[in-house]
Amino acid sequence: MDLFTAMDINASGLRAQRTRMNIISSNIANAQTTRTKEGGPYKRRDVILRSVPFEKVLSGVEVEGVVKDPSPGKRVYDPSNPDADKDGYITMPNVNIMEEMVDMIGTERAFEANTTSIKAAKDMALKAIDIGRQ
Amino acid sequence: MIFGKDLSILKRLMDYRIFRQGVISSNIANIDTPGYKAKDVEFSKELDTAMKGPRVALEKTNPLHIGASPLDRGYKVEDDPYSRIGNDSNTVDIDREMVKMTENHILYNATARIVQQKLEWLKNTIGGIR
Repeated sequence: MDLFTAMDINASGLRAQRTRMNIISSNIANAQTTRTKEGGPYKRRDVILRSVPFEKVLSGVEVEGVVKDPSPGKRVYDPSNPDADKDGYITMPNVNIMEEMVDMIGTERAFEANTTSIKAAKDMALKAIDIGRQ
Repeated sequence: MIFGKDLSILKRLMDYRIFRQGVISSNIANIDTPGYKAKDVEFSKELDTAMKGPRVALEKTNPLHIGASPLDRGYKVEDDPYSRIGNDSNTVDIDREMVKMTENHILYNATARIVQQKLEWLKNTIGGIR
């Protein structure tokens, strides 16, 4: 184990958080989407994170998969909408903007924590180079 | 031995600090992983082993040889006893990890400085102060 392993572990964290951020972006972008390729309104997506072993005792992280949130979307009365059913109701995506915003802040902070850790490892490595320098 | 015993202890200490950085990195990377348990390496135990360790590292030319190099020693990684459990049974506490990381970082730099100083003294002793 050396400092580059530590950096690799944090890089896996950065990658996972970036994927999560992409998914959140997609959720926010599709907060009003009522038509999808699979039919029906857009379903909120979420990532599943899993830890992967790194050099026996250490562990990095990876995105195991992206899952759809099965909870039902809100029904809104809007008879003029072409996607409305015979009673005039339309099912909206189950995306809650507030929830996505909170998730986004969490993701941002986790990303920052990983970059801070990489910076620390880098500083340590640079200090080691300085040993024995005139 | 020209470098004395201190330098080998300092080497082990730096080695430990690097390892601990790896453990903290793991914790930070897994901050959102459900079920992940925060880990740590006990400092005093490691220092204890380092102090009691052999003065001269044995050369390993065969995998069956008894290793005395600090790199061969497996560190004991345990679940961090001070972390709390969140609602997804993840026990990583970001504040704690950041504090641990800063502490580790500063102490690594301090150790590196001591090593540097020791080598400087050694150089002055050998070459005389000009």
